[in-house]
Amino acid sequence: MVLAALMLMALSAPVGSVPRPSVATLPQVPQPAVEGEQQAVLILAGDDPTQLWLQDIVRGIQESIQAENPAVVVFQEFLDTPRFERGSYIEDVRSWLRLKYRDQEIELLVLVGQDVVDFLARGRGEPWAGVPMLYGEMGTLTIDISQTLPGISGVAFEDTLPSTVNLLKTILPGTNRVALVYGASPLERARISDWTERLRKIDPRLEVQDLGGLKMADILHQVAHLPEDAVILNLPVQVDAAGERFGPRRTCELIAEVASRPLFQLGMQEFGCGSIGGVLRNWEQFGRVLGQQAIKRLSGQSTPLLTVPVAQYTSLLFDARQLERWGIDERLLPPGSEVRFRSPSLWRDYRPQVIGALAVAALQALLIGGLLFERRRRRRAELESRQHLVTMSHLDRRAAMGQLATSLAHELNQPLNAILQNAGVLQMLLTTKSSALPLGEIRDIVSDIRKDDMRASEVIRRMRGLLQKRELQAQPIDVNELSEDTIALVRPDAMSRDIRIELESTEGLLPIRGDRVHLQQVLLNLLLNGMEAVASMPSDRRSLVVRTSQNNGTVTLAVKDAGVGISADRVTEIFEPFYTTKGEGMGMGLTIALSIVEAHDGRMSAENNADGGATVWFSVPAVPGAQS
Amino acid sequence: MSSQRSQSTEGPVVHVVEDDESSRTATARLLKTAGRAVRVYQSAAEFLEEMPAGPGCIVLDLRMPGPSGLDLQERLATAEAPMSVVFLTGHGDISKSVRAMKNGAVDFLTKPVDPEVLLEAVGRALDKDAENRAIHERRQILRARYERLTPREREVLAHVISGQLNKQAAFDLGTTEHTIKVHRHRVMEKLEAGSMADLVRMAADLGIAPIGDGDDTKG
Repeated sequence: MVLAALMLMALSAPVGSVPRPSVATLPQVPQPAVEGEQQAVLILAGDDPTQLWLQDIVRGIQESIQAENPAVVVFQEFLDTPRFERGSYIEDVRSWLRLKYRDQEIELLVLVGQDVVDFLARGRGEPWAGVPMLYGEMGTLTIDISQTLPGISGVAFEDTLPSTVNLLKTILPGTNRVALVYGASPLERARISDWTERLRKIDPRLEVQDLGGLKMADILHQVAHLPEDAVILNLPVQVDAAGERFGPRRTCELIAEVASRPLFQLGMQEFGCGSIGGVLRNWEQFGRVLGQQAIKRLSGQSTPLLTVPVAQYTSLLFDARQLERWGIDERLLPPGSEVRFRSPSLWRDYRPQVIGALAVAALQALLIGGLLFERRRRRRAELESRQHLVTMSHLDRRAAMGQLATSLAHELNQPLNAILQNAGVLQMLLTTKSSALPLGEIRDIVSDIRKDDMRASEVIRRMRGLLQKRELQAQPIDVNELSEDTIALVRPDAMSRDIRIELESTEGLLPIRGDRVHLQQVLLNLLLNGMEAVASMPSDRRSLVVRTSQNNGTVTLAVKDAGVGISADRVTEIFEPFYTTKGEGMGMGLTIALSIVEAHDGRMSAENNADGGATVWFSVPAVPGAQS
Repeated sequence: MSSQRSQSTEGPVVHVVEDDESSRTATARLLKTAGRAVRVYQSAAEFLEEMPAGPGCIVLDLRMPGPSGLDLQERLATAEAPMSVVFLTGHGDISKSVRAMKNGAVDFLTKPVDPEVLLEAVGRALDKDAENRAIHERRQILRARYERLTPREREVLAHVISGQLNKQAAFDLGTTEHTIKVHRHRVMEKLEAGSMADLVRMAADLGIAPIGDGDDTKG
């Protein structure tokens, strides 16, 4: 009783998940047979022994029997009717089996498929009449054997066809037609004979296109031209109408290659050959269930008809490549589905790493985006500040020019005066009654007038450049020339204030690249400040020295004064806006000058001289490789 | 220069002190064309170095490197008979022009100067110079005459020109009225004064201060 309960427990467990070791741990079934004598089991199948599904079943039976009782001897016989049935073949086989097993007693016959049941029924159990028999078949038998094979017991595996139809309607909702592919041998035909009816029973609207009994070429032609609402159900062709035999997987591969519609199958043995998959019969499991039932029978228990539900011997398997090929959404697959043959997927195989990498990339993108945004803002701010610099520097130049206005007027008045005097001379010469005009002198006068006129224009040119409001431009500049020009601007003013300005220029300076007017303005500022610094000094200290020099690719322009210098706490302050020691002006001069120098990638600084006074200098990078 | 120098011994010379070459040349040219003798100097320092004497005037640029026009004018003002100065400047600096005029500048002209205005100013300066020169000469003569007076006669002169009566002067000087009369006569003779009024003017020219309580300047 206890043992029976244990057996039931083992059986009632979900068959698909019964691990063999757990079976092995079960207590040994007592052997009712005589001690020393081995029990013998014969597995008999009607089909082709090379069919994978059949091999799976037989292996399942044998393994489960021997797992329970390794002492049991297992024999296998295959009628192989699809490939051999001709004339008296089947009866010859029966005779042969009788001969073969003449001296071998069989304790249990395990029959795989209705065809062998039928074979034995037709011979009233011969050559094993009276021997206990156990059969396994999909669904219940369609033949009556109560008279011919009394005492036979069976295992009915619930048909997977309804589940398959359900499935294909779910994942391919437009399906209205099933093309059935199977072989032309009598056994194959017999097995499939009622399928059209069965399919209609499952779904009356389903149309069945029977491709059974054709030559392979015709089958392939048909499956290549199926309508949009069709699917192919492949029950492998073992022998086609031309008598050609097809090994395991072959049909599947051939059909899958040309199929115009998705290919389905019922068994697991050919999974991966080109079908989508589905509710696949696990034939080995089928065999194992059968084997376990056989063990029961061997141990003398009664084994009434056992029905095995679909879930206990099938797997929901799908081929990712085919799902993709036919555009089937994985989300439509029933729960518990297993998708195999995925192309290597980073996401699936390295999800944490991928997430990490994506997160890093996203962060980087965010950072880059942020930086770009900042850069744009900075650009805009730079543009604005540059615009402000242009405006401010213009105002500053105007202020500086205002300071210089009187001396510039003087500078202009000199040539104008000379011109006027010369004109006066000419007038006098022309109004005298003297007959002989001093032509040589007149020529000199006219030449002088022209010269002075040019001189006046030059003054105006210098001024006008500084008075224009303009954007910063980049052009090569000779710093020595710039210094001369700027000193010329302030020279009259300096002279009127009795201030000497000396230019100590270094010959052969590299040119710098920048805006001439703005850099001139910087120097102008330094000169005006310097003049301010020395204005109240005694005569011998009322001097400025402008020095140009070059060092390490930068050109430096320094204005040294002999004033009182800058008090230590103000050396940095002088570049601040609104810092001023003068009564006039805004105190923006040096701030603007600093901005201009910085806009030229330059530096500007001030320091006190050892011998009194201060030096303010700025340096700007030279244009490399160019010679001034 | 040498030709100009030779001219300077003849009549009045216009000295042009101007640092700007163009203006200097043009001004000199103008003056010469107008028949003036001209000498040119590049700077105040150069002028001071030469320190030309003789009749003439100076056309002086106010703004020059080194000693400015004003500096030169001030230096000249210490001389016995300074030459008249016509200032030229690039801009009309009021404070400077006031200073220049106080120092006796004839004119203060702003560049660019109308040639006619310049010539007129130079003419005026030369006239002024001639006048100054005449005054100076007369003062020299008077001084020479004054040198001839005895100390007693100088005392009498100082009293007489204050408008004191002879009697008062005699009392002050501790002598007789007659003695005073004799001295006065000698003084007038020595100074070659024709009248009492003449004598008073001469004394003023000589810078002799009257002595005594002379409300009544007429004696």
